[in-house]
Amino acid sequence: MIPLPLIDGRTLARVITYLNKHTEDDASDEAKRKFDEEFLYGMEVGVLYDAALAANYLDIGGLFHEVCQRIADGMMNKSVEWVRKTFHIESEFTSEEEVQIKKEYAWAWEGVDSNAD
Amino acid sequence: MADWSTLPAELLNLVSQQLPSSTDVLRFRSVCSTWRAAVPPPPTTASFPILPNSGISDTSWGFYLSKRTIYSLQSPLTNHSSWIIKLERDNPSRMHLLNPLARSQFRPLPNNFPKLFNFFNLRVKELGEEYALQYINFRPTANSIGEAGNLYMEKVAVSNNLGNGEGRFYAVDNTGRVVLVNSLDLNVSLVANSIFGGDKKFLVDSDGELLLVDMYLSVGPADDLGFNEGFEFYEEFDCFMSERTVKFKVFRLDENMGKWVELTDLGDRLLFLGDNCTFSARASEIFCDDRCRGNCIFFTDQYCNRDDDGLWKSRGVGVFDLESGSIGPIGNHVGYSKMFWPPPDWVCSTASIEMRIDEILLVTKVTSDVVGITRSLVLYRHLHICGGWAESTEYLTFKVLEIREINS
Repeated sequence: MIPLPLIDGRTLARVITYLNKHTEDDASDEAKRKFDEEFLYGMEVGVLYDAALAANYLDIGGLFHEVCQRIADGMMNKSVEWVRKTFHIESEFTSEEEVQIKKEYAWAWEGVDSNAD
Repeated sequence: MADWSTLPAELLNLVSQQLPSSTDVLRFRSVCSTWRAAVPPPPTTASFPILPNSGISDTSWGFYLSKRTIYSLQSPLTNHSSWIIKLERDNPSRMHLLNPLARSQFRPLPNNFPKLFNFFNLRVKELGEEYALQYINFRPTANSIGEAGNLYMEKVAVSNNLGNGEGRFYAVDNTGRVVLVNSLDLNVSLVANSIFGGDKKFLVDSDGELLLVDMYLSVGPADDLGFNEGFEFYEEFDCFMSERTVKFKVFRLDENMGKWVELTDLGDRLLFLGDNCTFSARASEIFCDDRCRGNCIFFTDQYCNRDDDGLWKSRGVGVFDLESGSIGPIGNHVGYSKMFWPPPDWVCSTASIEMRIDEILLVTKVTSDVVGITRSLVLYRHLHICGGWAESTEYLTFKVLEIREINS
């Protein structure tokens, strides 16, 4: 018996389900892709977190990439506030840092002065 | 309880690499400090080297590739349609706002356009990219940097998002034949056969699917100008007998057969055909007006305008409706015409913003009123939505909480 202290039973079961599906001899690429879609897109945020860490810890490249892709897809085009709320993150930036960060979002125009070229 | 802010850096890095646009990476880095530390900032300028002029032209000192990005901007607070812009950021402190479909700049910018525009609070989506070859002349005049015409290169539709990885892009010729070019070894493989048909072909990446748009041109008098064959006809012959777009056909790729299959309904999709770029968007994401539906193609064409001075031609944007086959300048359609220019109200105005008194912080001038005690202040109102500053021209009554001298 090999103890895995960092992963709980439920997550491990999920990882094993994934591995089983992906090592099946007669599973086509299409079937695997379909499985991945249902498997990953049905996961809640908390479960994704466990799955990501588990895949990293167990060094399962395929699952690790898939989970990261899933997280990225979920965040795409969403605002910073939404991300913080959904992933339960508290931002500890100081107000100076916040100003610095907001500067990255600034666009400076040419031609705002009426006599500029 | 999952603490996402403590995820290992390599995981955060991998997630950020899967984000489709640099705007998403920018947002990722703004979430919290561990995320910020794990991911490097996206490059602000495209670092293309300057190509030296090696015998191509007598007047050019060199060439460089200018990268422009097309964005759709939306204010989350108001129920307005998106504003689609094209931004050239070769010099981060001097950006240019360009017409998304044509090569020109929008000038002049409205008087109350903010000098510094901050999109932190906006819904921003990158719709596409454009690369334009520009020449640099020997004589350093104001016009010494200009767009190199089509003399030096073939038109190529470059797409990074069609799932083919680095260094490969699609190219279409004017018969509709499409090849996949591997820029590393210049290997060319056929993807789809010719379809002939119309006069000009465009490739568009629409939600990861490669579409071919076939543009049909025709030469002849426009029906809507109401010309009569008289003196005017010959005087303004050039305008009347011009080449114009009459219709489009859209095709999607059947990869197995290597053939183009006609698509008669785009559904919610809008296709945009620019002079140097193509992109697509979903009508449901851009418009909040039900009258503006998808299944349309936006393109540029020469349009005849008539005013008191006579008839003149200019390059404008046209709309083609796939369902009805109707085609015409964008100005004829109330909902569509506001997509590009002028900028929507929320960019410049402050009318729709709720201001709390203590938010008015920036005071730049204090001038004494001739009459006596009262002082008039020139206030710059903070544009809450886009983070710019614009001069306040409205009459305000407010209670002064504090007057502070700010040295800046």
